[in-house]
Amino acid sequence: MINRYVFGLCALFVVSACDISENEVEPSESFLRIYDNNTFNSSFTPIDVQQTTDGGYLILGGTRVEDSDFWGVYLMKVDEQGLFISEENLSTEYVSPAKSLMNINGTFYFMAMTDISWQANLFALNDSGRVSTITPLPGRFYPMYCEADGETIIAQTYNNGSKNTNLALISTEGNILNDANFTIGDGDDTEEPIVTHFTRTGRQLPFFAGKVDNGLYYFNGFYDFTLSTIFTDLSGNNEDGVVGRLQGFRDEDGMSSAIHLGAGRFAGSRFSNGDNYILPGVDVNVTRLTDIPTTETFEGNPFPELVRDAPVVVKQITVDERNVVLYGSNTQSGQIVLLAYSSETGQLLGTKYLGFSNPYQLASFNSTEDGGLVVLGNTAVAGRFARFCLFKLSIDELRGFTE
Amino acid sequence: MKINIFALALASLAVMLGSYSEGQAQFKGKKRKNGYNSRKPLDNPFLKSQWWLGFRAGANLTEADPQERYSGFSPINYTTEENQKEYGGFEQLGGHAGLEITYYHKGFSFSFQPNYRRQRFLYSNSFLWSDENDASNRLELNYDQDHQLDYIEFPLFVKYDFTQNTFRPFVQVGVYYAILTSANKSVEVSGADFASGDLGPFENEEVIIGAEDLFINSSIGVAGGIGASYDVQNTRLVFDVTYRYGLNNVTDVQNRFSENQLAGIGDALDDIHLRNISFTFGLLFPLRFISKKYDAIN
Repeated sequence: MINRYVFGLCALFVVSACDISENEVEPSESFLRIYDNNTFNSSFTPIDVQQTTDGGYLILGGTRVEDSDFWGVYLMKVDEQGLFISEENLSTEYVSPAKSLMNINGTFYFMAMTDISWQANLFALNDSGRVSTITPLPGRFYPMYCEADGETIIAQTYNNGSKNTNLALISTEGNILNDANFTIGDGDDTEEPIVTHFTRTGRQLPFFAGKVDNGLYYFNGFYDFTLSTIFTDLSGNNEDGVVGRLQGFRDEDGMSSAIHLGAGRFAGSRFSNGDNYILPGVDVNVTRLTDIPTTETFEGNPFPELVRDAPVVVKQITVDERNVVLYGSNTQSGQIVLLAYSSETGQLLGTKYLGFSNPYQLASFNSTEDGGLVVLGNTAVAGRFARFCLFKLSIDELRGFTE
Repeated sequence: MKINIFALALASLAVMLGSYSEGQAQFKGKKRKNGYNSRKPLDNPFLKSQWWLGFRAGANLTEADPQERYSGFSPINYTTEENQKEYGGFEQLGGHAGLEITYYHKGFSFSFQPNYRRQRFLYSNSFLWSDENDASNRLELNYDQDHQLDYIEFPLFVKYDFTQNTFRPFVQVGVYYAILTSANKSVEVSGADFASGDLGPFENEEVIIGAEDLFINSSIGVAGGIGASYDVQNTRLVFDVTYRYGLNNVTDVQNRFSENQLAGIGDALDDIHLRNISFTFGLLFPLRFISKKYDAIN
């Protein structure tokens, strides 16, 4: 009888004590960092994050500028554990950094504009987060979005003089390889939301762009008075270069994100009068979409958990050699939510919430070399100071909601 | 090292229980054969042994010893030391209660003292945001965080009694293994918000959150202490003061950031080892009576 108790007690101890030997994790695998500045009036807004070759991270963001309506360009380098290393503040001259921060052959690029003239510029950064070159892009203003396409850059800009959206292919040296203008139309109805987007005094509009595997390009921007998703061959053969169009309704209804998964299949999200809908896998014939309203084309899964007109980031990532469509957005409870869907079936695989106590908002996320995920957002420290925050999820944490 | 100590504890437990079985067999055997009082009492090794069973309860004080420090904040324009945690040293009173089963033989005792214990430790840190151009733009925040860890502990001690009298001072050394049953932390926020027109310090209500995910289940360590017992008729009163020296990091490093509901205020648990001082009273009863002539106390 006693032996049985002794055996049971020993077994209990051995099983329980396993957590001591397993209580180890590399500090770089999983962390949360909030980058605090103790200057009362300082304020930061994050744009994008990329991992550098040394395992650290490069963060692109904006900081409030006293004598400008726009947010200045602000860069930060942190190490592999997310600890602050250096910063570079370009806000005295350059403002309104646009999504995204691109990694092209080991050099990082982004776009921002010159204060006062609103001239768009292409910035090249080294691994340390220092600006190596700044190339003005003639005739391009108000950079809205940029995306790497191999060794070229898809750049979406806005010209408030001619009232058009411009989509261009740009080399990393800043040469315009191809472009097309898309007429917005006269009037101030679209000017106000665009300007408040840039000054961050209003809603952040869901500008994005990309390339389809049939050679077409797409962007989400203003065209013909509405915020629409335009498919174009940039040839100008069609009217205004438009091949297909998912038509929104002013800036109240349209797509909030989209990526091309291949073979006419897209994943994205849409908004309609503040409501949000997830479209984890839809087939789109991009050449037969002319003037089709977005709401009639895609129903999607309603997602009332998200804030009104939620900014949505969607990317296809690889987890253990499986393709997963990962959405990120902001919940009404002040957390960042990540939703993983199967690329093949569009089935929800799992969700993960990031952030406690303070409100958190998503800026961007990217895969990391160790198979994990880095998520950039902002939070209000002490309920009032806008600061960058960086979540690093380990591969195990990522598996936890993507399997 | 940790596993070795753990193994030592188990071995000691097995030896102790083995001795009990042997003693029981001896006792029964003697009884069957000759009766236990057939030999001269003081020469009989059987009479130099005793089992004790009783209750123990007391108070304890805990200190967290940081091995490696972590923070959710990575400051840009000030040093990490400015808002580093400051640990309180043996300040918060906890309590414990449990059983004691002791096997005594020739001045030495093996004592198993399972108990339920609450250990508390605290730390605090401060933050300041200011504006060098406007003195009224200033916010000071102080966070006082009290941690309550509830464990079921299985300590095993070897005691040595310095005397064989009614009053027996003793020393004891041992090892322990504890299993976490629950954990909470409470946070008190105070400070001064001059920017909002506050002229003096404010104090917010205490917030209590569950913190079980922030700590691992196991805690092991070594312990040593002094005490004294006093025999009253056939019972024994015991008082001891014992210092526990934790050997493992009790923080769950995998949940340090991901499950911390206070991460938004920059909180991240350091790697900590627990130190504890326990003050315990016990009342023990003998498990056998040696004879009608000789009472249970040996």
